[in-house]
Amino acid sequence: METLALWTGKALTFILAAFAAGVVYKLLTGGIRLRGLLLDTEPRATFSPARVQLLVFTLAAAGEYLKLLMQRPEHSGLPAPPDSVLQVLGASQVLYAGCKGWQRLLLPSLQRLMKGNRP
Amino acid sequence: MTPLAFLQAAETAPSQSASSTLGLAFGIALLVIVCAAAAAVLWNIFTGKIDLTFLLCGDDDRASMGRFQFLIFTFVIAFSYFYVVASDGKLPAIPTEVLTLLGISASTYAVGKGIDQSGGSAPPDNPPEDKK
Repeated sequence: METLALWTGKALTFILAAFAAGVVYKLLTGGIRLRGLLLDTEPRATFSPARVQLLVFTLAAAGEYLKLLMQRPEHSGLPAPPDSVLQVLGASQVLYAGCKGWQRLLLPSLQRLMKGNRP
Repeated sequence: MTPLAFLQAAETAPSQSASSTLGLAFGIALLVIVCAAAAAVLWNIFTGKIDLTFLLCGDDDRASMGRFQFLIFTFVIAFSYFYVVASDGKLPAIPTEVLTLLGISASTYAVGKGIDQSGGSAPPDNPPEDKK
């Protein structure tokens, strides 16, 4: 039974890796659309610093975790990311979501309010 | 061992063995089915029958940063798990910090989706430049 569980784990993780390889291949060859990834859509398509910082911190956190994985002692299991990485990543994601909420929800509401108060 | 205990052991041993064999066969069959289904999906992705063009796009057909970062973290953790299983030869425990990492990522995606669904647009007297 333990052998079966191990083979199940290996097969499922291999499937996940194959999916990842397929998606990365499509990303690199243009099979997955990336247009507008770093642009705001409201009120017009402009360069978005909030998206850029999220991309930078996402890639940095992913790289840091992969570095931890490669440097881990043998048979020590899955490494845990440091709290500092989680805090920085959380702050970055909150900033991104906050900017998106401001542009999509609060700013249009304020503009409608200002427009309604005009004589 | 008393005779009674010996008889009880003789009676239960075959049933335990049969149950174990049945469980093993069921597990192998399930594994084969899952692998076949995954292979079919992968084949359709590579042949283009499953279109991934808009995998990262939101409702406005532009790529979404929330989806992109969620994809990256999912693949990083999945790859790490694969690497640990392959190198250690056993299924590892998943630390709480890893679950927190995935939770932060998924929460941002969910919040972004919620904002997109409930979001308003700019007033009509302030049109985008490209529509002028």
